[in-house]
Amino acid sequence: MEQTSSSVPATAAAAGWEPRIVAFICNWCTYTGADLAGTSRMKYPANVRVIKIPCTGRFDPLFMLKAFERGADGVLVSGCHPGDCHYSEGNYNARRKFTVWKSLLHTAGIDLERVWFSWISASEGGKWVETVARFTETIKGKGPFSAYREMIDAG
Amino acid sequence: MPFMTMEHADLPNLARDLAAAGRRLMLPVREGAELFFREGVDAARLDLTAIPKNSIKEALFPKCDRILKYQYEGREVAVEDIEPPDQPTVIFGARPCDAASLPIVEPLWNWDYRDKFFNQRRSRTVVITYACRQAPAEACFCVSVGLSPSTEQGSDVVLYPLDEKTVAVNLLTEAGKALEGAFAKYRKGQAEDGAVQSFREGGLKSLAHRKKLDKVKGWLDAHFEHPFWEQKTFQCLGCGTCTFLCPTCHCFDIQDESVFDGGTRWKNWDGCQFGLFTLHTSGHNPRGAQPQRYRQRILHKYSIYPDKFGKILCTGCGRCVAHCPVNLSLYDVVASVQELAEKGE
Amino acid sequence: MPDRTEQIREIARKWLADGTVEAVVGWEKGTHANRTAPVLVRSPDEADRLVFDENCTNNLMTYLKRPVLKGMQKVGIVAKGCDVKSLIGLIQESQVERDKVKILAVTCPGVKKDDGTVPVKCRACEVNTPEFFDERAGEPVTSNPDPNARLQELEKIDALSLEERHGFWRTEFDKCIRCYACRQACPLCICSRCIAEKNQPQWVETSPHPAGNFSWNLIRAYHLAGRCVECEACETACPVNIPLMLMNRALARTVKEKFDYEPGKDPEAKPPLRTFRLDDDNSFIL
Repeated sequence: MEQTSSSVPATAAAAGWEPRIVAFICNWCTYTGADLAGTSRMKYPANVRVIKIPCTGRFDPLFMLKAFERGADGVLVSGCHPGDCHYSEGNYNARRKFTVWKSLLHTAGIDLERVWFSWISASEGGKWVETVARFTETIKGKGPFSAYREMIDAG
Repeated sequence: MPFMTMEHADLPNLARDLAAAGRRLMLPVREGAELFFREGVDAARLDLTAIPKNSIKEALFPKCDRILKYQYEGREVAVEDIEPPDQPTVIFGARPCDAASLPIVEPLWNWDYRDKFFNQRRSRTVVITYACRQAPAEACFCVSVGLSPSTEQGSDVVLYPLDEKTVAVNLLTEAGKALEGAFAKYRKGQAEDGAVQSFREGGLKSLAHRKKLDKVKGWLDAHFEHPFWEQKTFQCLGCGTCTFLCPTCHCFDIQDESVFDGGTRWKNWDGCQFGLFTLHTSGHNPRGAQPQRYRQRILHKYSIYPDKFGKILCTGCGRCVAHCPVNLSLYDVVASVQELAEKGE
Repeated sequence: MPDRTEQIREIARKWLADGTVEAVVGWEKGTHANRTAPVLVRSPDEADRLVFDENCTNNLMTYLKRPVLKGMQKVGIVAKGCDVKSLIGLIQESQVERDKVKILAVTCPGVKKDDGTVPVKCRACEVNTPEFFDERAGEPVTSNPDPNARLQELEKIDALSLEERHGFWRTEFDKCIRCYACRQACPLCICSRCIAEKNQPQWVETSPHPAGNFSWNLIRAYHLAGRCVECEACETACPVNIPLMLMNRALARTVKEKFDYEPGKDPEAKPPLRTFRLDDDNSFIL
């Protein structure tokens, strides 16, 4: 896996800053897709830290808040396409959760460009690579999540 | 002995001068319909028209306080002590019931352990109290706990607003007298003892309807298991509003917030009204029901603390009465206890 | 025509006398002119403690979580329309059995906050005359809701930039002292152990620092999404005046727009986050 180059905010680049991306991905689809990307020797940025959950239905917004508290600059949540969930309905429930949570984050002034959701199947190694690469680029362009850092450091 | 007087309108200017000398300044300001004691705000916002919703204890005992940092190094732990701030502080416009809370809680913070987080802040803090010409709120009951709307306890300087325009100044302590120069800048005249005495009497008169609570402790000590508690405290929600707004409440929780192999230890406000306050690791909770918890609050303030430290853990500021979301008035509870005691029940 | 207070007393007295209920939760006169206090009356003679006026702001449904009431076979509870909505939510989620509660609904022209102003919920009220009850006190009151009342405040937040909005909430949540008055007053905060009280692991930091407060307030709003009936008990109880209802209303708006669902109307309805449609909004998912 190699780093991709992009335009980076000057100060962050100078400090050699690399985005920290946390990805909560479901065991059955996206994780397997990511694994496929690996076995196919596809290259993509090493910024992503993968946390495997059994299903996107397991996703809890607290996971995302904790990731931001611990220094994540971006969080990706990904699972099976609707209709393909290993547990039949988990991702449908998740989809509603995402809708509500996203709206809450937006109301609270959290930049939604730092929060991505995707459906990536077990065979979509390419989509995994492309999504992570694009997300990393996006976060690189935005710089560290200073609003959240500031909240941690204050108090 | 005559007191220096100044103009009421100059109080914000005086506060600003005091802050400019590198001091941390806490003063009451308006936020919407209510007043709050705040730090780091423009002194021009000083508002003394009502009693602030929060108390001054935040200046000496913040709601959350870092007390140390730790880092695991193999099997060892490196601990970095955090020193409390050493900045001179002025609390400008405390009410007498706020100031009087300080000598009440000081023995607690120096009982079996000398708490530097409180002590250091206390030693660097000067309290300038704005005495009450009349009880500032319907909920006030300072006279019931042995105080008054112009008590000097805990204050370094007391300001008596004799009327809308004139404020008499009483520099009480060494720390208060050290500010003489700052006050002298605004001197307009002087007031005689008599004027301040009448001020004091006016304040007391405004609270003449409040009960003496001299029989409360005796009743509390003798009636631990009494249906009164269940009957009187049904509406209590078990939130922390009364506890956190109270100038004398001081319970705290220690929380270690770790990130992998290191972290910060915090000291946070805690309250005996929360359900988990006395939950044991065994699962047993000696105060599992709200009436038991509320009983504890009253007992602690009006019996246990006096036994230990010789003072009632309450200054009658009335915040708990005014701001309880379900109107469980602590004054009403202790006054009812007094009545029961007087009737011999 | 006896007034509401009289009617409530009569009904409560009757229920307590003939054993319909073991106790009635209602409001009684408070210790100050503009306050009332929740009260539990257990005998017919105590029924005269009950009152109803514009100061009856508390939502009494929060007391149905209490062990003392859960242990009773039947409990009477006085309820305004907004309170009834929260009871509908509790029944929907099987937190309260319908036949264990006798609803003494009361028609209500609106209550007043401590500062004398009219709450948003009263300006928007559609349930002045509750339709879900066992007995009802008071002359019917025609509802005349202001269609803009609920979402008017939200428009100010919507108009802010992302940074401004975050700054707004930082200012508000930084004030939070974690007294949990919001949670305790809320009729729908029903968890026997709140997420903020769990420490294995500790998802929500209990310290009232900015990060902990942000986490707490966001999660509480999220846990009420699609459930909050906007009774305003939380915002009224908050001692540091955080505009909690803005968060709750923003989510209520999303739930209505995306799932066409409004809580507190139908006890048989499926909660929106426990169900789904195949054609739910998917547009934001890559």
